[in-house]
Amino acid sequence: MKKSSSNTRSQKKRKKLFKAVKRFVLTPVLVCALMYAVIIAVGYPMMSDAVSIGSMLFQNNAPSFSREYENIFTPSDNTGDKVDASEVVYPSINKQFGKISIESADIDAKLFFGDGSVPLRNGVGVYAGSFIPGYGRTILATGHNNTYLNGLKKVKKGDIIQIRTSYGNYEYKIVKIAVKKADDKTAYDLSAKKENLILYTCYPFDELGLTEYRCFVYADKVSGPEIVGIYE
Amino acid sequence: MKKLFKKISLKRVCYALLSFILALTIVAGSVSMIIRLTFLNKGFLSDTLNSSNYYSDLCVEITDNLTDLGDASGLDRSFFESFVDEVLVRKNVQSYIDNFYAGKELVVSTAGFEEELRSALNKYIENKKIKNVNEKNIDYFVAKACKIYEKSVKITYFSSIQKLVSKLNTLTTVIAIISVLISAGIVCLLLFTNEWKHKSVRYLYTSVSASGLFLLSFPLGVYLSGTLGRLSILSRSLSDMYLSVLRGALNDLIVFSAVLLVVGISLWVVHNHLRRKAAI
Repeated sequence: MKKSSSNTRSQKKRKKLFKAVKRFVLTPVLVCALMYAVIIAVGYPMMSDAVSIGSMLFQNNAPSFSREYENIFTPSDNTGDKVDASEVVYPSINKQFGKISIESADIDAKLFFGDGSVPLRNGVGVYAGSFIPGYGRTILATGHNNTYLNGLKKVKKGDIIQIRTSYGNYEYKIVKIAVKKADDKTAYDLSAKKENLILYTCYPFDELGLTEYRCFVYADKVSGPEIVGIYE
Repeated sequence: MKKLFKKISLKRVCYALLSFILALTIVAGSVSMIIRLTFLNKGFLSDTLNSSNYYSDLCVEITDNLTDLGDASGLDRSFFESFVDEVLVRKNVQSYIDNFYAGKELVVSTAGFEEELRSALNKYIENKKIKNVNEKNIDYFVAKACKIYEKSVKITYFSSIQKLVSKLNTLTTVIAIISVLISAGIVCLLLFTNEWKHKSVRYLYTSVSASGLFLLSFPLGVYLSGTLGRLSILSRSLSDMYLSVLRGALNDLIVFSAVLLVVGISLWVVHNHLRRKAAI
């Protein structure tokens, strides 16, 4: 009899506690959830706009503010005529993928993919809309005339330009040197079907201020492995 | 009996509905107030910029970009090392923010910067004893440098949201006033139409604490998901600025929700006190 009355009392206590918890915690949480539901229901027509704005404002990874660059260049001793495309790691923007040197002009610089501020601060940059060595097309590269490409003022026809990459070493012979306006689109042909290297920098050399002329150095491929199996 | 049950449940539904609307109006009012206190408040933005690394980061970025331009213009890398004047940058940014909030045209005056640059260039030419300087090339360089400076001082997205600010100003004022009026009306209705005061207070507790939880859940969700760190801005200074502003707004939301939760708990205590009194 005593046991059953104590049971009833504890049951009553538990019920009271549950009621208090329900009122104190569950009801506000439920109302909060209901508010979310109402706001989502009301804002549903604008949801796709909000999602697209959100995806524009936020990216998948944290942005990097580093001004450092990644180096994927490891010297190669490939002296063959061909290299399979599967062995070539195509560089992404701002990555160093090789070295460029012209012995006769004391030029020895790092070669980057892309011609933005990171490549030009650290060496010579290949325009991303052109090609890298081995693809049998035009390689358009640039650098500042008072830093890495200052030596271009010394080059002459017949000089050899060397490019070393992780998949092979290339040589190009200078065939023409010309000074053209910076906005002269005829100065280069990116659709050329033969491998050629065009190096350009500001002209005149050692001039203070921004100039409107560029010195273009044209060179044809002499040696280096051709990249095969590109479309396989 | 059936009639009485019906009467009671209808009354309960009405009170629950009023309580729910009260929670919504508290949230709407709080959010409007926070928007007014943060995004629409010139003082808040200025204070945030001063307390963050914005100005020092901005000066570093301007220096880097000008050094790149200097590389292309035959200048020594040391030329721009201590050239950018933070005081001038602060002045120009502040004037840009003033124009933004005043609804004026968002222009940056580069006159001071140009004057300093030309004077530094003249000194450089003199010291290096450079002869045959082409004025046209120098003018082109100075114009480019001014463009870099102007672009850096301008705050991304501000030109696109300027019109929105004046609209949002009016809208948030209207929402805040309407919310206060509706909330006051509902509180009066709950307090004066229910013969059991402890029940009225319980409805108030539910509204206040639910709105507190609602306001708390948003900043907590944002902080825990790490969304803020993925802000798609590639300039360190701008990213710092937007992050500081967003964090400021989210922290204000947390403070608001904490106040609401404290008020809610106090209402719960009052409710229990009144209930005990009613039982006696």
